[in-house]
Amino acid sequence: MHGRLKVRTTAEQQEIKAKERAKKMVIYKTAMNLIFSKRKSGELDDEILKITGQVLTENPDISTLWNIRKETILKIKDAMPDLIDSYISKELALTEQCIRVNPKSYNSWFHRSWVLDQGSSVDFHNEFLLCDKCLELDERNFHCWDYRRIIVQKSKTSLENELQFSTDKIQKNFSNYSSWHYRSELLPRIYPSSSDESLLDDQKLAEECNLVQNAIFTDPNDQSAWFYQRWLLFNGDEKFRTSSSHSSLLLTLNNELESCQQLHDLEPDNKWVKLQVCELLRRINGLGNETEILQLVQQLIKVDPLRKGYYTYFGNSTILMNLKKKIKKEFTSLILNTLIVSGSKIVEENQEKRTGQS
Amino acid sequence: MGGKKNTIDRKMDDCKEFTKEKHAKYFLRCLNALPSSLVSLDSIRLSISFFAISGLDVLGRLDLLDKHKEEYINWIYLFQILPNCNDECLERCGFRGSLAATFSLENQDTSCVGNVRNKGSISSHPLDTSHITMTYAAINTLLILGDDLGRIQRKGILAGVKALQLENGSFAATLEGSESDVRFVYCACCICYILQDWSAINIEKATHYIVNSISYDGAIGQDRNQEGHAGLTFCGIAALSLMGTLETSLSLNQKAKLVRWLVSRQQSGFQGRPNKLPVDTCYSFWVPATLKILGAHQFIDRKSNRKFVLDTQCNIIGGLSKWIDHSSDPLHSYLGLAGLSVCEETDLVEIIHPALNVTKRAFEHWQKLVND
Repeated sequence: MHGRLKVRTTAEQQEIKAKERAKKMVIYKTAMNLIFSKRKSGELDDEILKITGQVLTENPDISTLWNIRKETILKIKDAMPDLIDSYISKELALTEQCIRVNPKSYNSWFHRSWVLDQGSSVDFHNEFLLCDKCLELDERNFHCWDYRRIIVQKSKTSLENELQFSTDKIQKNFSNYSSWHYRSELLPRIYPSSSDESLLDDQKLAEECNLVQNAIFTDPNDQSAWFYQRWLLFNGDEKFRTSSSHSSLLLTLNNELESCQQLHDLEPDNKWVKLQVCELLRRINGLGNETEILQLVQQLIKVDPLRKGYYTYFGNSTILMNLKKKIKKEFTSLILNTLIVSGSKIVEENQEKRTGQS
Repeated sequence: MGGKKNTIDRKMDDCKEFTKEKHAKYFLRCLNALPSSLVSLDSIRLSISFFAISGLDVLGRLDLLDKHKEEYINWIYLFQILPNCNDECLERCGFRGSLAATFSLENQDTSCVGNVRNKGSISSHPLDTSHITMTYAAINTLLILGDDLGRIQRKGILAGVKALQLENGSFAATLEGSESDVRFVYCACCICYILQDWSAINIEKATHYIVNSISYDGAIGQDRNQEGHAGLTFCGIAALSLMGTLETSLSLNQKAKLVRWLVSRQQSGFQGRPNKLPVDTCYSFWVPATLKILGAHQFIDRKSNRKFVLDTQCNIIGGLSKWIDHSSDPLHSYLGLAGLSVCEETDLVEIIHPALNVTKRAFEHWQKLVND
């Protein structure tokens, strides 16, 4: 009977588990008691750092323990300023370990950014490496993206560098939504339009339209690029209507419409492209394109029934908007007609008066 | 005829049976003892009890607590931090999340404290301070239990809230410092709304902060320039609605963009961010509740949301889980059911007030308190 694994009964297994748990519990309780009694007597020293560190690597979300560490670090900084940097590097190592345990631990990320402000110098290269590693593991970890924005600011890294980073991420994976989001924040800051700082420069807008079109044609089912394109094209909606760049935007919209319609021919069941065509048609000439828009809305309800209510509303609001336009148009022409009629009457009357006088 | 019956049966089978009573038992169990797998949540005990008690309310089974209601109320007040004499350190007032790290209770026998009509305790240590989420959870839970909020230290709690607002309008969670974002703005707004006293919040700054956290796709992120997220979007929109600035602070275009983003989150249940799969039960609350505040909840496909939420039920111990076939936890159990309630599913007795996240019954109790 050699070489056979002993199969434990569930009762045995449970007993072992219970014992392990009890043992852990004793260790945890002893550690917590020791921490609190040391803290009470003001012993903020290496030992308290060691014990809180041990508990935190098991459970990084006990804020109280992080606060005790902050208190200890501040005390050391005050008493032994020469040694602070070595303590800082230990804090960085601990938070890194905790981030490994739970990459979404608010406490660990927050403590790390606090620590950066305590030492005399920071090796930002290391911080960027940590972010790279984390984003390799989970490209959507927003704690890490947020931390990256913090270190960009602290290290005064150039925005162009960050834009390149975002481009690299997108080229690796077109559907990295977080990275598209990062671009939307960086671009207007680096390439503001000369007429309005919150808008994008015309030339850059054209380049971005190109990039996002590549993404859309690569994977038309991925919403990242569609949301980004929507932002690019319609961001200035309210402003463009009154500004002089209206005609150049209209040209862009028409170009985009053309390529979206091509894609629609290739992918007749794709809901994103249908919706984008609707949006474009509505902005280019909502009144003239009404029939086409309503046809697309019916198709949308068929291919994406989950959002039936939303599409129906979209269709109805288009009709309503057009109705308003029609009324306005008719009203204007009515007024014009009245004016013309009453105007010509006045002219006639004046002429009559004049002929009477002469 | 036979064939017809079969199709009906199949349709019924499509959805898991709604095991209401099991969920009620699950919530009761969460109140009394946390399962060992959730022991790390002990430091936020109060929020767990909020999920459990509000969960019972949503199920229409608050009667299960009838015998012990007073004890639970007393137990919650135990977490309150009282001001020192002469109202010193008022800004530390509010509620703690747990008694596990409390210095002031060392000499008290906490085991029988639930029976005593207590108000809380004075904090004897400078770092024994409240946490805004816990204050929010405590006040909401007291309201659900029918308490008259008479033992709430209004002055202290409001001073506590006021001390946490930062220059940029956002809120931190504790006085010792923490991250600050729209989650804590939401908690502050709930507290001030329930206490009907807005002196603790600079509404203009808070509104500005939230509007500034709107991302390019219309959703709200954790701070300016951060990626939008459904949970944070709920916090932001609910906070604006509680402050009464929702109508004036967002343009029609911003609302349309947000509604489009929210509606696109539905897959069967809902996801928290684009392309995040699988869908997660808690977003069945965050997304529909936000849409409801915006008056756009008719765009939800209720049937497929209901099916997903019911699929996350645990058939053995009750409760709901984050994902199908995972173990249930109090947060997802509560938010899953609250989500169904927001969508006006008729087999849940109580309809959730979307911004305040309490049932209609609890909300009416609050209205009575305010009018008296």
